[in-house]
Amino acid sequence: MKVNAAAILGFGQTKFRTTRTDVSGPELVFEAVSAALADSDTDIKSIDAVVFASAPEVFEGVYEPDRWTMEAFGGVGKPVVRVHTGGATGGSAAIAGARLIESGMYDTVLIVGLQRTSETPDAQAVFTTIFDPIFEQDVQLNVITGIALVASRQMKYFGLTEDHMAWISKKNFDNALLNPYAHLHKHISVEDVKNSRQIAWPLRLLHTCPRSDGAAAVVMTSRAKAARRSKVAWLRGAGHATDVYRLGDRIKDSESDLAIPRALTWACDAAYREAGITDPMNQLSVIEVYAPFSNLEVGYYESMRLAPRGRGIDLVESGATALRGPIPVCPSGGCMTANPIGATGLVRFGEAALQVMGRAGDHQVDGARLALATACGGIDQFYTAAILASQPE
Amino acid sequence: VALKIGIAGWSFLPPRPEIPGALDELIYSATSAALEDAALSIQQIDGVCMASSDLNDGRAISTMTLTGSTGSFRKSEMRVCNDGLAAVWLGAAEVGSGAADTLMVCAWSKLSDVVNPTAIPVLAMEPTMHRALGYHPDAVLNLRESQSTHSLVFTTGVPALEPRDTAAAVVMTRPDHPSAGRYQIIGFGSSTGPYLKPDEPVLAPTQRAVAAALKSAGIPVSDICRVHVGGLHRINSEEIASALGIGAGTIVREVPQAADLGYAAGLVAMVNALNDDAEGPKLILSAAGLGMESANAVVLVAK
Repeated sequence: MKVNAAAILGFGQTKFRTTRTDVSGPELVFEAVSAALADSDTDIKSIDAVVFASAPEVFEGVYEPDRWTMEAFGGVGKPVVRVHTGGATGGSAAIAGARLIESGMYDTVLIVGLQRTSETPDAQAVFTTIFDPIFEQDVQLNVITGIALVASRQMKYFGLTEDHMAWISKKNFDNALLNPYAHLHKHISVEDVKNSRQIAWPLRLLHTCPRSDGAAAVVMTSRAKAARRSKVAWLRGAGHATDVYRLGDRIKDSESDLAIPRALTWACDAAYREAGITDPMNQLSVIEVYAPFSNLEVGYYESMRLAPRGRGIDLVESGATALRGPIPVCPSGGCMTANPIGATGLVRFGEAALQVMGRAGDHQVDGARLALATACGGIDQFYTAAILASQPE
Repeated sequence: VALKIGIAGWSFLPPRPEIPGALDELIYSATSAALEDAALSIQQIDGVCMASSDLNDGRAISTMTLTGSTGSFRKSEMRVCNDGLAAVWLGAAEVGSGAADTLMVCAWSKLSDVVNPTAIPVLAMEPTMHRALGYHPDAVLNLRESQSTHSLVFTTGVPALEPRDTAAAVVMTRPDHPSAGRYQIIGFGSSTGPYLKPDEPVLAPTQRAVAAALKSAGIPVSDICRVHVGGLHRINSEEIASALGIGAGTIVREVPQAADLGYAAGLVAMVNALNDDAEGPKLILSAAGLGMESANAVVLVAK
């Protein structure tokens, strides 16, 4: 174990809604940071540095939103750095916070995630600008049509069906009913999913995530300071990996297929290696995966090495990833039921920490000791993976 | 144990009003030359930490399309949306934590592609109460200066920012890495100030960042032989020298002082310091934001 291993003291998140008209951006951050500090039984004076996570600022409508919001949570005077790796931002920020501690630079770090997508009249119009301006933007590929391409490839690659996707949607929506912070609280049936509006074949409305306003915050500290606490989550391992930009370069080679993102495997392998995990299916207790579309979650089972090549659907068909299954995935409901983009990775990280601390409430996985949290950015391009544990080693 | 970071190589494209070529080509020129200077291949680099602005680059998640030129394929990619010295600071944490033995830090500015660069900083203003006033960031500074000096300070007397294209890259390593060269970074500091608040001296965040960097380096300011400044274009060197307790003659500025290098300013200042033959510890600092409220500093020494 690292001498300066980082430990998570607490986690706070806001209520997630399509539009949080009751608060401004800074107030949203204040809500999350206050909750995290209270959950950590600490105060802002104990924070040595801040990592701020927010994805494209076009969503907020404010350039450099970290500076705009600093006064709202007491960040003024502290070192503050803003991290942005698209949807992976929250995961990257959590790892950045850990590195600041592990390097010995700081003892206690606050990681803050914010996204206020409601300020943008058309989120997909923003997403369209992520593509190459000369060759691709005119094609109007966006996140939904891009993931639809992945889903259609998954149908051929491992036999993905509408039933598999519907099962994932229902599992996550059911789990969200147990999570008071989830954006969507809705009883749905498999038939509801299969009859929902088609948005880009084969994706339907209930295969996708909502647009959410919200914020999240995590307090991390050094091993020495964590030793005085009775209940913390330890960051045992972390990985970060980037794929090539062009989808065409990822369609098929000896180790890659558009259906199964290899960069998630690279990130997980790095995290597993650091954490000493050799058999993730049997060693992990719970997973909080960043999968905003139901088909992505199925593909990720293989990327996370829970299933052999082409057999991720076995975990769906056996119900293994249900809340009471052998390897629960997204007991919180995941980002299919709340997706404040730049903060989402941090929510996954915080939820995984709560699980190994035994404080996840109604969606607690019994006896959770080792959890994986992931995040994804770009079109399956940037991935992070973090292993949270109930014990330091 | 104080954190020390080795430097294996560096490179930059000297700032110019326009450097022909695509953004990818600018970045690739800097990163590939830094690798050559370090005598390392991209396969020997563990991760990349970069500083870039979506709005300056002209698209959301702008680094998506830049993986090839930054060299982050199959590696950790950390990206900050602050000045390049913040990328140095966070990159040092990656190396210092043991997560990376070798790390590419890069930053760039291609403001010649931006139709109206001065429109971007205004978007940092609070949208409901302040932005509609249409203040230019220089006007904000002037108002603060007027308030503190009880005199009128006019924007018309201030040189306008001059947008520049540039790209810079530095290869950082463990201090005991075989590729580590003559220089080491031994001090890191960062601080922030309030958002447009009157009464806070404009250079207060810079003073705090510098104090933290010197403290972590374990040296007094009197030991500093040269101060390389990135950004702070509106603040004259005498004022900076006075705030830091150093002689104005030790300060090195970008030429012209009004050059706008975007988020690359701090990293370009660092490359300038690496290219500076002066003997003794060097301080590199940058400050940015509407009120220069985000400041970073590092201390560089020759082994």
